[in-house]
Amino acid sequence: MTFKRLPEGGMIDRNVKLSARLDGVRVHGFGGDTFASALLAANKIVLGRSFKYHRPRGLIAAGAEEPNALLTIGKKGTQIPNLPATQIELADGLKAKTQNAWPSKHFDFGAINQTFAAFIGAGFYYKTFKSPGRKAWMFYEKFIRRAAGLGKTSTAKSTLRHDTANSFCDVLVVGSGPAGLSAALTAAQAGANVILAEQDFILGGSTLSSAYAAQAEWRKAALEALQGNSNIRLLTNATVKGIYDGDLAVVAVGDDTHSIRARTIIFATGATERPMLFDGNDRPGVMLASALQTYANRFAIVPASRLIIATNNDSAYDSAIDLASKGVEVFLVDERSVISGHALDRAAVAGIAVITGSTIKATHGAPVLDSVTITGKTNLTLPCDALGMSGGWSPTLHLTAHQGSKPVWQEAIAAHVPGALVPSHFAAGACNGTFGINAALREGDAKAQAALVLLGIKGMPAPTTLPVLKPDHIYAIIASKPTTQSREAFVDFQGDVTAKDVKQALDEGYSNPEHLKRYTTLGMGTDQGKTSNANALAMVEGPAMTTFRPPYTPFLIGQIAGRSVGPHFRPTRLSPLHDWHRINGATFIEAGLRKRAWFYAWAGATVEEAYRKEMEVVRHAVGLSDVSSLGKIDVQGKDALEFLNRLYVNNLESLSVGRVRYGAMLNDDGLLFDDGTVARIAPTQFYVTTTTANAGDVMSWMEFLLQTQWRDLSVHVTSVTDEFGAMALSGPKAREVLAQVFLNEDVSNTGLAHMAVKQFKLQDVQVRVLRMSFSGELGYELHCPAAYTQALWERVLKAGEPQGIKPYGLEALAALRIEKGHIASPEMDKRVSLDDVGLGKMASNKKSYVGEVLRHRAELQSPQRPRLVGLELMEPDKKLRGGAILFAADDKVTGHGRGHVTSVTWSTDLNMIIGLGFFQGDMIVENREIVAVFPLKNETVRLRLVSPHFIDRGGTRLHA
Amino acid sequence: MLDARSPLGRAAFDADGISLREAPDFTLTLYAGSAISLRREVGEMPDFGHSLQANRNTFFRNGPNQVLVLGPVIETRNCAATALSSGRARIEVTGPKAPVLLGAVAAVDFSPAAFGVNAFAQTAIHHTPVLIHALPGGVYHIYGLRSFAQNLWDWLVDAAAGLR
Repeated sequence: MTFKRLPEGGMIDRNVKLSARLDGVRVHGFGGDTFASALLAANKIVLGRSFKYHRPRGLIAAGAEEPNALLTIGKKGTQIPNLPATQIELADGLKAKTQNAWPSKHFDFGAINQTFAAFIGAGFYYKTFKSPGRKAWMFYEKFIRRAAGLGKTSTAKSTLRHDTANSFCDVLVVGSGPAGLSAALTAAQAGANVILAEQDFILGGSTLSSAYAAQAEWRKAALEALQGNSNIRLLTNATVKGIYDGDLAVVAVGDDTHSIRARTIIFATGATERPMLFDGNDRPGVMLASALQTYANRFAIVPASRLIIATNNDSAYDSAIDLASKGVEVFLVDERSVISGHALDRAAVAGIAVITGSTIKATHGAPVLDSVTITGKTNLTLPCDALGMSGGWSPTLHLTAHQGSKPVWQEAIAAHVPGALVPSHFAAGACNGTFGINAALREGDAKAQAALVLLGIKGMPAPTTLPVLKPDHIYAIIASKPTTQSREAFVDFQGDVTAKDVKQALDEGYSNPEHLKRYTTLGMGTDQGKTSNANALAMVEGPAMTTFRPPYTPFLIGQIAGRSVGPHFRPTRLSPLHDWHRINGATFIEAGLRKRAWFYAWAGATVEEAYRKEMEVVRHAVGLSDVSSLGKIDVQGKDALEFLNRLYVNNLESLSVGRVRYGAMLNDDGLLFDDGTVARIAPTQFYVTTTTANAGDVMSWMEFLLQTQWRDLSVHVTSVTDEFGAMALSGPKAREVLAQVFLNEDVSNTGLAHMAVKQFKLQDVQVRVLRMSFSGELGYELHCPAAYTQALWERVLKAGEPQGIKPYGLEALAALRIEKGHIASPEMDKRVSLDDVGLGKMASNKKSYVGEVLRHRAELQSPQRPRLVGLELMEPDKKLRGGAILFAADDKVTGHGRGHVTSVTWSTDLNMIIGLGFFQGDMIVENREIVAVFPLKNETVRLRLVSPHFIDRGGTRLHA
Repeated sequence: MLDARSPLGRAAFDADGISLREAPDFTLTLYAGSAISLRREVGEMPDFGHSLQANRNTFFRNGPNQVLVLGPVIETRNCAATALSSGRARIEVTGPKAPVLLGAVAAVDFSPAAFGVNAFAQTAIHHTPVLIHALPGGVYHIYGLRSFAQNLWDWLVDAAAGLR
């Protein structure tokens, strides 16, 4: 089998000479070539090995449907596998390698699989790897994974850049063949804002494959008209991957991704020619007839001397005639006995020998095609350079079905066409089953007109004068079912699914197309069955079709991620004090999206060293910590008190202006949702703080309740989390520092009592001072507008220098609250009740609140429910870990135990490791010895159950 | 007066056809209340998506019963007023490629026909909420949350580098 480049013709630019490499071997081509056409011109016929049997494979197609010629381009950070050579625009210096073959595509050890072909048919995996026991798969998996897949991605970090863009249009036209160009012209000339997306690197669709000057001239004129129209954007290398709700089309444009929101979409995606089934239909040199036509007309590449085309329809005659006109000796093998005289006349004029009532029995040659055996009315074996197949055409329905439209069978063309489309979608041309160029032109125009009516665009174009182009043949096809059941006749080239596999699956009862697909892996490769589905499903009883899902062609993960990579993987959230922390030696830790100051260099180089020193400062002097991440919500309105009273379990009726109350709220399932504080700023204004973790959820919950449940309440809630920076001033010397900051204010124990709130002015800046403590020491929270937070922070630190004030980080903040027994996110995992954490008495029994009824359900009142406990480590040389499972000392260590550890820290007061956790309620006895087991590290430690309040149970320090 | 710090330290960035700079020092207040109270005490309510300029204030209706006001604080007795000036960062985008940059980062149609002068959109950039406002002269203001300001800025600068 040999191909040759004709000395002239085609749409290539012979003045632009390009050089690329495949597996290190240089390949020459011209501007306008694809990698596939350059390889074909260079007689590189074997381009890889098949998936399962490692059979030599070559080009079949010339477009996106190519199942075999998959290449890997680039290396390391730019490596991209599984690209069809037919979709790679040839570029100077491009390097590619073939896939799925070792050591080479010409000699591949994997080909030994062909010896066992009889044993590894459909369902082989399912039948074989399930035994001998339940764990068998664990053994087989690593071997199968090693053998599976086609190309391989690089483990190197990608250096490709993938940008994203959003576009909007009145009409999105997908495809630039006759129907697409016609639709785009009509819509754009009427004044609609149009985007035309074409997956090829040049516009024209099927007209690029035509030898007829009239089509080329019309295309040229149409493109000139479009390029001169400011209403339209023409996108090449633009593959629409999927259509989503709201008519969102996700389009890969080169390396980038565009999200196009279109008011209407016109699908003009053409059709794909079907292969035919016969023994050796996968042999390199066997191609689609239309692909041979494209290579001849667009790229000036033809078989060296003799071509045989097998067909069951008229369209192959066009391919045959085009190739014959270029000096190729062509034989047409038509399985039909009755053929239109017109087709036969044209073939005769072109000097083509037509063999009717016959088909291909088998192909021969190793590894590439050298001859073909014909069977039927005529039986003979003919040597040849190439074999074309034309089993009819399948409209490219993929995108039309993404919004749920079910394809319907159209007997006249023996193919599925789009079913009822959503109102803003239209299909035109071959993808709608409308074959013939003039019919496509007119349908493209008509569908654009329909879209304009839907859009209400009045500025209709001048009466459209559509040309009558030649040739225009509405092809005839016989709706035949494949009869072969051979192991050598491939239905799905990429998945190595044969006619025998399909027959076997049907015999085993997998007659539903969706079952058949999964059992045989039919159409599950990167080509998504573009050439295989029609033939396989024709073997199923009645018209059948599987479900089309995005993407239409493979999508790079990088194109999905866009620029959300590296430091942009997710948003980061910074405190208004972030710069201060950075400059002053803070080490940061990620807490959700936030970067928080974990510990400071003044206290140590490691967190273990630093947080203990920071705790010491708070317990014995005074510390300052950034708590800006707390959720903060401004609640205003005449019903604000009523609203909060319904939301919180506490009775807030008695909360007077200037006072703060610690409170908790439940989900409507009666479980603990969040805790925080409510400060009454004015009779109708409250300042609510939430935990950092639940800030967004609490805000949403409030909005939900106000907008859906309690619409009668006049309340307005606004998140002011970002408006206010906040800092916690804690320690026995905190009041002294506060007094130095607010020289003219009364911050005494009576002037600013525990759980009081006051608004102080500091150089015209309002500062909310809330006296409360998370650490267990005398404490204040200072909240001020974020713009002034750093200035206030620095002022407090300056003022506190005589008292030895130091900043302390998140680790110390958490450690201090564990000592005090305050719950935080680790204890509030949405599975615990108010009573579980010992806050049941806080709930009012004089009013109703969200979650009240379900809080009292029997399950939540069970004495066996795990309750909050304090834990002391009895073995100081061992480690206690959060998440460890708790058991009674004499329990058999198995299962989920009687509770778990939630928080662990070093206690500066007790000089030991302590923790909080939950333990089965009816087993809690103070000082009881239990064990904590951490199976991941095979650790067991002895603990003592104690009160969760390790320090200052009477609250003396708080009220100091 | 304590020193105020802008979220981005008055950052600026220039590239081919695009300029970004922080535009700090603004007063932003959210007013909420009944439609009658808002009209009577705050001002005329503009349509959603279009700002209204009145006296020294710019009004953005961003909810059924609320309006965001840029400019001097308006005294009100029956509406809830919440100061948001410190909680927002403002980034000014100018240059011929400004709409292209915005289109790269936000799912909004920024064509002049769809997003003319005074148009505004509440949308998201890199998962964070923003309000984008079109001003005369091809100037756009992006209001983002202060805590996400650096993230927003970095995202915009990165996107600008990707414009072709």
